[in-house]
Amino acid sequence: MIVVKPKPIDEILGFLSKHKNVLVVGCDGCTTPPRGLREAQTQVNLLKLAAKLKGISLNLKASTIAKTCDKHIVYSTLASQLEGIDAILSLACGIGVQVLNEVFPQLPTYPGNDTIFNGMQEKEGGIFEERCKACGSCILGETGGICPIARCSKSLLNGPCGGCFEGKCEVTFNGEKHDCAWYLIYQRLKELGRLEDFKKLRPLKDWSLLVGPRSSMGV
Amino acid sequence: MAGSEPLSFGLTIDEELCSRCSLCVYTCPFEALTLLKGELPEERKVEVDREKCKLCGLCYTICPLDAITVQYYSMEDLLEMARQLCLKTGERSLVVACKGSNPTDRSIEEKVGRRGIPVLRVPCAGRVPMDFYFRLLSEGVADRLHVFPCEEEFCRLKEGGKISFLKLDYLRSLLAELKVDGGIISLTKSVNKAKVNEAKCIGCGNCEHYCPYEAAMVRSPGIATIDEEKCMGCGICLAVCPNFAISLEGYEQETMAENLAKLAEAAKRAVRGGVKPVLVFYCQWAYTPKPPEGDGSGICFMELPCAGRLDPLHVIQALNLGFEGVLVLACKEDMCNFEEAGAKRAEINLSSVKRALSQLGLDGKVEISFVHPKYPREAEEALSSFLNKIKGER
Amino acid sequence: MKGKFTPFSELMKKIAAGEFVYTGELEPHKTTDISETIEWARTLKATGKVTAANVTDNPSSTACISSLVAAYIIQRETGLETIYQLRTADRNRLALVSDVLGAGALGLKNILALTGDHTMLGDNPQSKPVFDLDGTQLIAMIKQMVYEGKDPAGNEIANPPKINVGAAAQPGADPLEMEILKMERKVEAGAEFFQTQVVFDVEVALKFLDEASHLNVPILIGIFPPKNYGQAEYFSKYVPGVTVPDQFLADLKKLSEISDKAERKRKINEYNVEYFSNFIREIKKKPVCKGCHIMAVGYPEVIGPIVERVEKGA
Repeated sequence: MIVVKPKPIDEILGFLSKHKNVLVVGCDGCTTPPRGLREAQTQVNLLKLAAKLKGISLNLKASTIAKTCDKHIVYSTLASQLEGIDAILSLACGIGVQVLNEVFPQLPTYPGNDTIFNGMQEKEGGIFEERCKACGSCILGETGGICPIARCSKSLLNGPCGGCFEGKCEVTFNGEKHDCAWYLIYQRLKELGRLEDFKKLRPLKDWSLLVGPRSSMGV
Repeated sequence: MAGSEPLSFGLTIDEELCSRCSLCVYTCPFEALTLLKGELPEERKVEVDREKCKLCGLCYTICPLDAITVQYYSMEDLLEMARQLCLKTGERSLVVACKGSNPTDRSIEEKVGRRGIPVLRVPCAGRVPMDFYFRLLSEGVADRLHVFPCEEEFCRLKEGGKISFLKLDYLRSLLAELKVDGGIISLTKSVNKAKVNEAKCIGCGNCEHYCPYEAAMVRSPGIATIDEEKCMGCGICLAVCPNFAISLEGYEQETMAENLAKLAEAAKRAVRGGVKPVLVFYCQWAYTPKPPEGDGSGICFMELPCAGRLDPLHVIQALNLGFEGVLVLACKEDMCNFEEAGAKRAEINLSSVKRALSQLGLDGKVEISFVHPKYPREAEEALSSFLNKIKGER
Repeated sequence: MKGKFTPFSELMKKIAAGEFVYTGELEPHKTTDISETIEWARTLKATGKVTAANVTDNPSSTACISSLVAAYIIQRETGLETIYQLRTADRNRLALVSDVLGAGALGLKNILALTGDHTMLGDNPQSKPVFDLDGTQLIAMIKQMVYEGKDPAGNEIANPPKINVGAAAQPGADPLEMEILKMERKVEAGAEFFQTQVVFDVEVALKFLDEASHLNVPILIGIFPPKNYGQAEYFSKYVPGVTVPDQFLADLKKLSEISDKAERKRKINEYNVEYFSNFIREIKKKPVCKGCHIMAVGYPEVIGPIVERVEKGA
């Protein structure tokens, strides 16, 4: 799941105030946190409220696309809905916003959300956690299925560092200490009877695989 | 019926009337009543364990001396409500339905043969005393009664379904002995469960993720299904479905939007009258609103099958339609009839709305209060303090 | 690159000759004037017991003067051999190669290869954390440069540096097994010595040395004689992985209540000398323990006396 968080309303109004008729488009592709029609309608209502309070006049409509990362589907879904529209606010991830700009270059498409990471969802409270950095050279087979690139704050290959205490990483995020990825790897490999995998000296990582913009051509 | 102290417990036993017969003690399905022993006569009395008591009203029904009163079973109030309903619609038939069963318009139409029959919702049809049904008929409130209790497995108040069938069967046989047409009371087991509209489902899995009963499931190729056996009609899945693909009769997206629009008219009237309109979303288990006196109070009510059904979208829409404040009344977590998920879900949903509204300085306009259904005054207190807060703001 | 080893530095030569060595700690700050640090280095040298001193690299991720520069200046000005601490938090492999070559050119003979604290914890938390390598990979990289004359991509180095490389260890780690496995990895990478975090409890040090003995690589145990009760208490409360024995704390507390300042200082110094000389005498018994790393900064009065007491009592 590509996880997003909402942009501040003031910033969004900043983009939209130059326009009159805005189409707020959700995305059904990665829908948790929900970005589909419901979210588009909620955003429309929120912006209406905000615009009213700030004395800005704005016409807003809600719509959604099955997946915004597909140029063809984007075109076929929205082409007929753009009559009279002078701007699009997309609730999709950064990918979707760029696709919309490419497919409909005559209209500006603005992001309604900040894309924050690729992650999975816990049951309690629907909290998401990052799990993958798309680093291009996956070592999950050696680390018992726990990714140190995404889950270690330093993305170490031969961890843990000296900052692992009581199984937690020294770095605090939003007041929370997360598990030391290497401690988790140690425990898991021990469980699986594969501590020699833990001890392995891993050579330098090819970070050039993370340099963008990446393409799947020739891969 | 007002308690003498604030937050008084919803069940009271009049010690003077009570004969200590202990019928209530034996009948209580939750073992919440005990007869205290003692040397002195004053020490012998029936005591209610407030933790165990579910305010189901069975003891009220069974007490031969009317010594027990239960908050929302005030016979007079219910009869009056029924009377008003029948007068307003001009109908002589009345549907009495459990809150939980919430029969669909279609199922009522199927049973009764036509639309437009007024529906009186009681917390549990099985707990309402037989007397009530008698009086509805004998006092000429209605000529026919259609009772829609919940199916046994669906009952949220334990055995209410079974009791209602037994009672009503008994009632009918009684009527037969009196040579009255037993058909004037009909009984239909009912449930109100969530359904997926497959054409709209995008297979996102939110319903499965949040369903407290593991009734919703998403499997490849990505369409959700709701297991009828397991669904308890709480409506949480409706609030999290990104494409409004799930319906729960009476609480679907379209219905709520329509109802909101109607209430908006009421809000406008209130504003013209110089009153700040407030919308109260209430969990059907947490609160039973009394109709406000006159039209000028500006308080509008919208019922939810469970506070977890609360959709942040509706809260924002309400503010857009001119409501000055939105109050959500949810059950305290340990009292939630839906595996405690409803209250928690409502809180989380509302906090996301408040975060967005705080950017506009509006988060004070929206509140959630957790009230204990067993202490009916709590809801009243929460409502009046919220109203004061809204009134007080310039 | 396990196994390959030539002692280039005074430190390693002395250890190879069987001496028990002492090292000190130098922490230059966010300044271009390190005269204070130079002074402390001189003091350390003057004790006649300290063989080398570590020069910290952006300690706790605070941006300080380059440890390469400081290590060089101090060594040049005072004649005290420095151990250049190099962390991977702030440099990619190109910069690390540059700095190691620079160290070689400047005559620095020891590097302590570290990963380094996360940049988010320091005084410039929005920095981009590098960690192109981790500390263990840095050890391997330096060994490859020194013994094979190659950089990480295999390119030839003209005039490879002659530097000994060490790593850090944490005797108080829990679980200890994980720490030992890490040390095995570092030895596999070619670590030539270990310097540990601070230990107060001799039992912890001894257990650690037993568990690490099979590595056959010299270990220098870190100690921190506290100037007052407050310092000891700080370690006990706030430093993860460090335990301070209750008796030690109680004794220090009592001593810190002496009202006469001079008397108090004298008593605390005496206590430290007694406690830590006993400590060192104990750890010396373990063959893998080849020295002691004294972390206390600004407390010269005890270093000499501790070492003397150890030598006397031996």
